[in-house]
Amino acid sequence: MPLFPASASGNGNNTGVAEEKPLNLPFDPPPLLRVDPVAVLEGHEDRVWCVSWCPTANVLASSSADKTVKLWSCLQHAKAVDEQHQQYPQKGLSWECIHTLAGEHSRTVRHISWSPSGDYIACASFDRTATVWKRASDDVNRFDFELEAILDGHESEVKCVAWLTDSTLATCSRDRTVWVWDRVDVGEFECAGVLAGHAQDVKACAWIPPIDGGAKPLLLSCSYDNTVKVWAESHIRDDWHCFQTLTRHDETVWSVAVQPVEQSIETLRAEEEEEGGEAQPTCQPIICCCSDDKSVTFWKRNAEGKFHVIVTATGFAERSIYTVGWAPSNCGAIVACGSGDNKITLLGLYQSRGYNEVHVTVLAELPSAHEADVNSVAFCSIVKGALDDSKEVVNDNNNNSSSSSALLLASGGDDNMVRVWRVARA
Amino acid sequence: MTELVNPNPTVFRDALQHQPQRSAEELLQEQDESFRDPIDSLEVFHHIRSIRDPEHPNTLEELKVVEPELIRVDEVKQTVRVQFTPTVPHCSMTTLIGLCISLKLQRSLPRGTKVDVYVTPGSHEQEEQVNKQLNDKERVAAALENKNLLNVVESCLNEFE
Repeated sequence: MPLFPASASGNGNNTGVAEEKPLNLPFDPPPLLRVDPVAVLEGHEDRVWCVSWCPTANVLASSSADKTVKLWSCLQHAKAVDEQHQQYPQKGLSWECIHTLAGEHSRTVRHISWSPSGDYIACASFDRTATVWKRASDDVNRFDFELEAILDGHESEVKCVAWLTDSTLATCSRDRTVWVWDRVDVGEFECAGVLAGHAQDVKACAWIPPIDGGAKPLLLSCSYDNTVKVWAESHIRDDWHCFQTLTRHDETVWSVAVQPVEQSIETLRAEEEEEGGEAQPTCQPIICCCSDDKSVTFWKRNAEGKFHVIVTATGFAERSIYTVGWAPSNCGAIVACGSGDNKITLLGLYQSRGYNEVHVTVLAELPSAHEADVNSVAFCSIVKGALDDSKEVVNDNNNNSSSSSALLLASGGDDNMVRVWRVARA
Repeated sequence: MTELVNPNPTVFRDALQHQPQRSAEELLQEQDESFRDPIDSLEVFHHIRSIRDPEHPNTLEELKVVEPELIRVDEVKQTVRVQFTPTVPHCSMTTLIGLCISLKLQRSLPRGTKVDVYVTPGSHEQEEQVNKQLNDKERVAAALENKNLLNVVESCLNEFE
């Protein structure tokens, strides 16, 4: 697989300027992974465009050209504890549709996003609107949603929606704009900015949350014009401007994903033991983009805050790459990619010791993950501990324990299917 | 539309008299049900030859917009690549014709077949823009959700009555 690592610029001549933040990357090549099928979720009547996990519970949302959003959850049957099932515990578990958001959108639901608390779902639709749905029950185990607000303003299909907080979200559209919305009251949202500058259809948007106290978030958008734009809010509230345009891809940029950088408790403990309690500087998130040009690019910020490419992955996909998604930070720097050749590929990043070089490698490949294009991939962010070894998998089966420690990956495709996969060390 | 984009298209009547023929071996294979019937360029051509031009009472075959020599099939990768030639370089119906070809093949070919539709190189002023639109499956899907446009496409796909 051809790889083109790019040397990161050093800080040598930046005396007095803010230091470049370190990357949250391992120094050794990550281990190969295996990806095993867990479930096939049938129910959508047309292609599945987007899958997204609730950040606070093992609930998966999927959106489709059939104009609906479905919520899925894994239910453990009470009768799973008999002799036959002890050998095959997975047969006692089944994924079921627990709720359907329907009736509100008159055309395809292209994208869905959970708010950080898991209390809201936003949907982006080809009917030119985005909708916000609110959980109707305080019961932690119930996931009923009712319509809270309709965000109206875009002149054509809305392609993506992304929450920053439970009160702020962004939408983007074929009308070439990105909108920022603020909740001003229950069920009421105000437009906080119309971000114009892309020359074409805006395919997706994503937030880079503020890293330090006092810092402001950045908003990313990627487009049919082959670029990614970085938007920043100036000192005047609601005054958004394009801070930088990333030009590297030769074709449409389909998706942009921000690496989660929350350090796990284990990492913090290890650091405290090593350094006697001295705090590490906060890591900066890596930005990842995928394109019709069949490549995935990774970006970081230099000391001046400008983004530049640190490494590019090519050669693993035969058709457009439509989607990228990061694994939780305590699993290592792993990215799942979904492409038009029906394939899911897992990439791993690591850095060289001593040199400012980043490398990318293929950790796993699923050549026929779906029977048609893969439109969306997403890792569940709820995972205990590190990735299981294969041996531990065997132990889990013998002990008939639940799969609570599994890293789950979901995908949706043009074959109308939602699939759930388990990722572990090979 | 009061003014025709192309008021004087060339019609190739002979096309109806010289339909491509399959070899005897190919015909025999078609009779053998146990033999898996691969997609080939003639089959693809058969699906799209009778699509009607949006402006004229002629088929794409008659106007030489589609020809079997401009179709490539990769059976292993289940990929079909169709080039079509607009009747005039500035034809504003080009994207619509491409949509008709794309939708017809999506419906006719086995599910999961990849269909790539392109303008024949050098035959259209906005070749790159048209090709990019036709091969953006999200924009194609959104366009076909527009009922007015879908009606026009459907009328082009329907056989002459």
